[in-house]
Amino acid sequence: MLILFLRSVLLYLFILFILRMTGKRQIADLQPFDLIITMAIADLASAAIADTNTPLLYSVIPILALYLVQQAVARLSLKSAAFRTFVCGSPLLLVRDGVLQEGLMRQANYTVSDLCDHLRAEAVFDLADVRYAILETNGTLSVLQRPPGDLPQPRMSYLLILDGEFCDTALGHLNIPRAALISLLRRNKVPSPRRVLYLQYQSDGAMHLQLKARYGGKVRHIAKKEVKELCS
Amino acid sequence: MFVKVRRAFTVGAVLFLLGMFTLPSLYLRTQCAALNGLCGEVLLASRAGDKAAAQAQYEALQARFEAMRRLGELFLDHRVLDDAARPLALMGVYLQAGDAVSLAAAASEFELALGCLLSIEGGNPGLLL
Repeated sequence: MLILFLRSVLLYLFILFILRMTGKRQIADLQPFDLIITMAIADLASAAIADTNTPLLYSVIPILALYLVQQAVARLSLKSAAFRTFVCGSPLLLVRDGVLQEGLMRQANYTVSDLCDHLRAEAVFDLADVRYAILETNGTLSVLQRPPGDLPQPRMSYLLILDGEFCDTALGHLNIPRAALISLLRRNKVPSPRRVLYLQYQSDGAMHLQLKARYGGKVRHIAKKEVKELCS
Repeated sequence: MFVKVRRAFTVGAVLFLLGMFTLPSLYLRTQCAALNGLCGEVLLASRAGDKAAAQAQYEALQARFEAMRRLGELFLDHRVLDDAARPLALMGVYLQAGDAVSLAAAASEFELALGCLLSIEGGNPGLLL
């Protein structure tokens, strides 16, 4: 019995350490690859705790293997947008300018009643109050509501460049050609989009960018007027 | 700091796994070869009618197996080791009784069990699926 107790304590400490090493995502928003490792680790640990005929290494080695695979997937996801999209999917704009995007909802197997369920959880009880709703890759719904009365309608912010890569979907939404964005960057002393950590099109029509740390990590603001010239 | 700890842990995990992929199989291979050799000598001495020599070889075989078992329990399913211990114990009984035929049968069962041990850590592709 003491052995069982000690095995449980040892595995508990080991799993706690592994989950801590894999990052905060384990506790908060689970991506598909995080979910796999969490479920598999739980099963592997419970199998070894109770069976004293099985050495602890029979659980430790698969858990370490899963940890390494998870680290590799996380690292590849950081490096490659295509890989990230393949593993995690991409956020889907289910409501755009107050209009339900039927095709995208079908793509996500998301019914109108699912949408209403999630909206109610966000304290939104009327579909007409929704200006934008995004189904995030971790399954949560982000909602931007219409303001009451005659207040100006909120607009979406879009990430146009992420980790040096163009976000073509967002560029398509805004009808901004890549070449125009490259020339805008050059005008702002950024010779290549590869140097950009992120470039965001803000809801007020301006743009905000930050260079990668190895290129100085500077933050720059591009005025609305300059962006308007680009779009025209 | 956390990134450094994680990187160090990841490198440590890779090295540990590489060690676990090679060292146990290396250890088992040398131990099983030695055990097979001792087992053969027990049979040879028994066939030659030298009961004292057979008994001495058997005791050496048993001592070596127990040493391997203690270490092997850290990385092998204990039931697989028990499967090898059973025919080894029977060999002792048959040796005492002077039953050469049963002794040979128990010895071949023991060698078969050692073969199973080796296949677990020997990268047997049949165990993959």
